[in-house]
Amino acid sequence: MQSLENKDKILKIFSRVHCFNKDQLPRYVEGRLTHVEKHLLEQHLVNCELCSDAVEILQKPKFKMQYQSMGSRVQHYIRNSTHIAPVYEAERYQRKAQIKESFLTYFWGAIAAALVVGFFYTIQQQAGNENLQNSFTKAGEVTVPASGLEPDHKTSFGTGHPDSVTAAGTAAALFTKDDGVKDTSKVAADPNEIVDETSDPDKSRYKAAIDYYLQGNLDEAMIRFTQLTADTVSRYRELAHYQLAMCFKYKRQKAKARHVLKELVNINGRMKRRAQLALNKL
Amino acid sequence: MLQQLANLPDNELMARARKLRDEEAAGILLERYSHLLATVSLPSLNSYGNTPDEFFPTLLQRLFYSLQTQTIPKIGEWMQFFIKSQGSRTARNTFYFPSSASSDITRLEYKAEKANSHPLQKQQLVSTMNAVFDQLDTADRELLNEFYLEQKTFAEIAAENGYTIEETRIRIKRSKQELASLILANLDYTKPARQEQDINTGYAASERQEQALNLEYTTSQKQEHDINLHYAKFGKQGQDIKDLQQGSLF
Repeated sequence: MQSLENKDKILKIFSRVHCFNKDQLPRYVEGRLTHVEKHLLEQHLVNCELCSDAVEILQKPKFKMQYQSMGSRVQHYIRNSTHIAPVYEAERYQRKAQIKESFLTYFWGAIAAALVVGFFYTIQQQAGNENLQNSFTKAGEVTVPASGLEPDHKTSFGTGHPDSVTAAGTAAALFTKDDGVKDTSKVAADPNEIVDETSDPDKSRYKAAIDYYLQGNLDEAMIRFTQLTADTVSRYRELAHYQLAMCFKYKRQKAKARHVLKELVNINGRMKRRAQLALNKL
Repeated sequence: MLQQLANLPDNELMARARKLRDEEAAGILLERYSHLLATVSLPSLNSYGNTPDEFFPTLLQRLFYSLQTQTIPKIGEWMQFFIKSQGSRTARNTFYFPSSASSDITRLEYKAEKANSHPLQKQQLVSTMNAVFDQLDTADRELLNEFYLEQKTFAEIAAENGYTIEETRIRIKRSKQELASLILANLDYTKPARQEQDINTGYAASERQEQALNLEYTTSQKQEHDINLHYAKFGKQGQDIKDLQQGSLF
């Protein structure tokens, strides 16, 4: 058995050993190999002129310095050469696909972020609007008692005659919209004055008229407004003129409404400007 | 696919590059040897005004074209040929032809590899090699014995004999080459003779016929012997390439 093994050893002379790899070459030159590994590589060196040339060249320090950089450079040439390495088409395709995927991910991520921001912005806007409406309704709640309406009458905004509701809305808009904050404060100031004078008969008449007006009973309201307009001394004369004009308007008697508003303009009081605007709109 | 190709041996990658025009295989093979390519090219880059940007793309293109068109028995020799011709800017258009010296060794390497899975072939090869080894010059035999069987390094042998390391390498190479030539000559001689013997036994029916056949056999054996010797001396290269082509197939 021993002799057979010894006989077989001769085959080792012609056993094939691969060329030096990237790691082995500098290690061989620097002598950083085990005895077995060194002997194996030397078996290859016997036959391979390429490897023995490489070893000889790397023993010169100026070439040894360039080994790593030049090796990676050649690798780069191989990978980027269109003639030699369509090889790496698959790899390039994969890289492109990855870049595309990541781009798409970022794109949809940005879209999602924009949507979320937009959603919150819209919610905030709505919340702001609600706050404004709330403050507006609060202001309304302040003005309505000031104008002397009972709590059950407050609800008539929602339950009354549609015409009367729109009329009241339009009237409120007329009071607030055109003159801005200043006019609103005026409107708020006037009812305060009215509240203070609880014993005034004109006031109760005007309250009653507004009450009828809001309920949609325009005829009754018009009778009271006419009485108030006839009273030249009354503080509610101008307001009564205006409301009377609104009553005519909602009864589709535009000529009469125009006539009343012209009278209001001629009075040349505090309501002149609003009267003029309403006149223009008719 | 790239991962699978990267694990293939050089022979198969070359066969793929040549027969299937597989560019992936060619690229992987060139990248496998890129560090040697770069190292051996370093001296050439400092002469004849060669720059890496000009030198490597042209060289790689030539290697790639050669891979697709030529049978390459020894990749190191092939690569070195192109690097030298590209570096010195001479013989740029010549094709690489393997030397008969390297192909002897390559052919025996292939036979030794194949014999590992065929016990009878192995037995025959080992006995032939041992017989031829004993016929070698003493100096060659001792050198090969020290290096391959006693596993001494170049440095150790060089120190013992007073050579340089490169001289030691070249001496071992020559001895190995000598051994390879003799082994191949013996193998080429023995194989057809044994076949003739087999044929001879089948025809041994009568004494006359046997005598006649034996006469024929001796003459034909002589002829075969002459042919094989002639082939062993002069006609090996074609056979080598044929063997390598078969061997490089899957």
